[in-house]
Amino acid sequence: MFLTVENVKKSYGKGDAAVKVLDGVSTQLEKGKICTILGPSGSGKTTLLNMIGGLDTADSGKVVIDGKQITGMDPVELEQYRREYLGFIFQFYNLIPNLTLRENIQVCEYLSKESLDIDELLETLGLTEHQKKMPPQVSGGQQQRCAIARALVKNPRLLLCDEPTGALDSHTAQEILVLLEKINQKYGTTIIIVTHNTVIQEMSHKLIRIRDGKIIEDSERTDLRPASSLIL
Amino acid sequence: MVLNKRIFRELKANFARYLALFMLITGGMFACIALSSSADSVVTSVKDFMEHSNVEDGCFSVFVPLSDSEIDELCSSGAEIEKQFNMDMLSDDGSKLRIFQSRKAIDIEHIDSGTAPEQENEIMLESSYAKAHDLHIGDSITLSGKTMKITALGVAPDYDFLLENYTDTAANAEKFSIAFVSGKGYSLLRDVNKDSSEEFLYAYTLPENMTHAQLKKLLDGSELNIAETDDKYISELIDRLFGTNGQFSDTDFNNISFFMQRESNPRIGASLAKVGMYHVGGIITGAVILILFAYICSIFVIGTIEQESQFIGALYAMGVHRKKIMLHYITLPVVITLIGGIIGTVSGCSPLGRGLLTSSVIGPYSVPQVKDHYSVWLLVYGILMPPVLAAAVNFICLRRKLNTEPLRLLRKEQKESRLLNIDLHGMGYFNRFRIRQILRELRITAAMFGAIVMGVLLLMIAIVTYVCIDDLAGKYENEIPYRYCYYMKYPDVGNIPENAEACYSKSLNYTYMDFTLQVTVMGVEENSKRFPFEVSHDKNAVSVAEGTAVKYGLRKGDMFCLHDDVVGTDHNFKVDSIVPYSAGLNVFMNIDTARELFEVSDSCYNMLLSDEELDIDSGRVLSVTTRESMTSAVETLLSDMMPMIIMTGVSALAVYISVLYIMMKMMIDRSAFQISLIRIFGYHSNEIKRLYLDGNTLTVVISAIIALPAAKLIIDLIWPIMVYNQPAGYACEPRLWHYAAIFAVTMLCYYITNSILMRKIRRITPAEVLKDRQ
Repeated sequence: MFLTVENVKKSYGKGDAAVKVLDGVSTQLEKGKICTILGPSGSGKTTLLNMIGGLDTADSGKVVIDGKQITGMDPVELEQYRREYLGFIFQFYNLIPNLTLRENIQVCEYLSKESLDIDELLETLGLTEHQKKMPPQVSGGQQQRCAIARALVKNPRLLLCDEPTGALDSHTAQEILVLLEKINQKYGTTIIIVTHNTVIQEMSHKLIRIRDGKIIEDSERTDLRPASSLIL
Repeated sequence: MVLNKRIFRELKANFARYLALFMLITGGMFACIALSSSADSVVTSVKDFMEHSNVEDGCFSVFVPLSDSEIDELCSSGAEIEKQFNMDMLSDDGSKLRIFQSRKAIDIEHIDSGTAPEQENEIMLESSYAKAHDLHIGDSITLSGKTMKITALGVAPDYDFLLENYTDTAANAEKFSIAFVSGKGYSLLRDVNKDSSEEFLYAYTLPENMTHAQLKKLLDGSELNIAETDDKYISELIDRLFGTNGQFSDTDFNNISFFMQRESNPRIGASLAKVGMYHVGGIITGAVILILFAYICSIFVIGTIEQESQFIGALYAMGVHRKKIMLHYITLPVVITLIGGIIGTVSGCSPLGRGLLTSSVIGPYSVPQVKDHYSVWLLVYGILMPPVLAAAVNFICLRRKLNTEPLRLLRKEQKESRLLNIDLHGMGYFNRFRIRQILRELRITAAMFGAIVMGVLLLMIAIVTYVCIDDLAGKYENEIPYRYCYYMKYPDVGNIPENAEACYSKSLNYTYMDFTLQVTVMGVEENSKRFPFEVSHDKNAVSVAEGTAVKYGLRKGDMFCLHDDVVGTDHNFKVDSIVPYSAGLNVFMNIDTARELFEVSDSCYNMLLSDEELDIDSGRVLSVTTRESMTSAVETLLSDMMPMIIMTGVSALAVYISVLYIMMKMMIDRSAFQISLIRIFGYHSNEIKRLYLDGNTLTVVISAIIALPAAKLIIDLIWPIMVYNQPAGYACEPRLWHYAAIFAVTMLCYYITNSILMRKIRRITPAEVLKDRQ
């Protein structure tokens, strides 16, 4: 199994003020699959994503990726883990404003010896003609495509997407989902998408539904719909 | 307003930044106020002293003392004349004291402590001499075998700068000073010292309607009363010159050996001239610090507004007035700078600041105990200028930024700069990233550049001052071609002692930047062994010593006009050549040419140079100067300047570290989100440092490379002002290693700051991005 999450618990605050965010979460994911994590605000889905991404630490439990247990790693090991394995896509793109789109992608190209060809990525994502522009000079959809290109350029084994369409209109959101699907098929990248949008589950191989820090549904899906057919 | 609770939280959150800003203001105001108030106190004390002591308008000395009737005649014109006869005596430790009788009317000595000498065996020592020799009231001092009891310590206004000779470069109270005795005491010492020469000096003050020239004219008519002196040497001289004995008219022999107005006297008011410079220096230092501070402040404001634009937009949208928001943002910098200004001003006025600098300012001078003087406008400048400036800068920046519509603020929309979009295609990734970062933080880069220029300038001033004076001491040691220099009391035509070289010298005045110094015209022998260079044979041309040429910016072919106070004429000399000699201020010509120019006999000389002590009757000698004493005086000047040199150097380091730290930290704070983001991508701390901090290396290196020649240019402009009252030419030529040392110190300060901030980078975690997300 590519990803194993085993009885992960996480609380914020102390004593009476302590809030359980994850309460014994366990799940698994095969390599090359798309997984959607659904849940209302405050359910713990982003916290789970952060645990997998090595951005947050669990109070107890294990997260194992590709045979490596990342819970318990020190900050330097976590840095190396993120460098080798992960790509991140955020809701608000988080592009570096004083770098051109191409330069933003190069920020992550530098991290991998087996990086993908930037020109090909730009072409695939429809950014070739905008590559020399600064982020504020392009639309939200183009910024998110750039963020995807940035996440993909180092050819990560696991792509973590936190509300990747949350800030986009439905048409652009669909374009982004089509891209993610294409990437999954073309590069075999494992993708985890955290979202409020229940429609996205229809293009995913696996669905995890969280509520109050507990997984209430963990199911494999076989009746996948192509992203281009989703009505967002 | 509830919003203001945020002020304390802002202070807590950015404590290091505000602390550095506070230190910059406190340190800057401390230096400014300490320098200026020390200078103010010295100026006030010295001016009061000069007024109360009835400082002379001028002085003159004669070969033969004036008769009482002549003095009465001069006084009848309204002038006041007082005899200030004096003689040099050696103490047991070899130091020289010029002994005067206590004065009653002009240049009255000031007693710092003790009581005026009344008995014949009592003496008042000049305070800095007593300090240098650890002598106190009640102690004794032996002069030519005669033991005198010290009853007082004090100073005299005509020896503010304790120069043994008017043409000396520096004073050294350990080797030479003055002392006062009663009338009986003077007679007693004259008796035990009768073989040595006595200077017949008179000080004068003029009524408002009388000029120096008018007094000089009256003096020119004075007679040579041989009967007035028991000095056998003047009688011999007159016999030799005129073959007779008796009274002469002014057409035969001018009794005045020198005539000097107060303005031309380097011993009087030298401290005022020097201190005035410190005063201006203090104000300029404060102004530069305030300008730098204002700029840094504006960067803070703009940065804060950009960072908090959404929050401000939200307040706007909800109807909060711009005035209230502005007041909220202005409060903290104004309070911080007000406290910084108060502490800087108070500590600058305290014994710590004022005491430290006063000793450095008055070090080489003999002035009365300095009384603290508080200038109201200086206190207002120190306390109110920083907060007023902070308020003004914040107001201007905030007003511009807060004029933006709420929606633009909410969306964090910022004006795009074309500069940010420049094409860096073909450049390596890291370099491109760094250049983009520099362009993004152009204001910060500019502040760093300003700080580096200022730091380099201060360091260069400190190093150049030290090296120039140190070099001068070395040059004195190597270039002064004699061990002993005998100034003859009367122009001599006798045989020149074996192993000595005779010169004919004349001191003339040169006024530069409204300050008059004496330049010695040295007539030297043909093929002189001691001055092995070609000198002018034309009485309208001179060979200018290198030091003099440096001081007055003279080049071959220039005209150099010197004034003769005694005769009242100008000499327009053409610069014939520049010759390698740095001691004092001198120009050279052939001795025969000099004799012809100054209308003295063919074999006349008034100066003897020798490598060994000469066996000459001390009565013929006015004073003796040694190479050792001249070198030692320059070394003393250097030690007097050390506190100022150290303070300048330390100020440079303080400016470097505080401004670089504040600016680079701000750069990191502004990039915290980005740093956190790329940390999420897997960048290591060292790589983040390469991206975000190492770009500054380029800024610092380029700034230092530009600042070094720029500082040299600035120093070239201000150097003549800094040394305008020094009777020597200091070549301001930093060497390659000086530039290298300044560059190395700059880089070291940068690397120290960089290392401190590396800890800050390590503390930025991926959580920054998550915070923003959540």
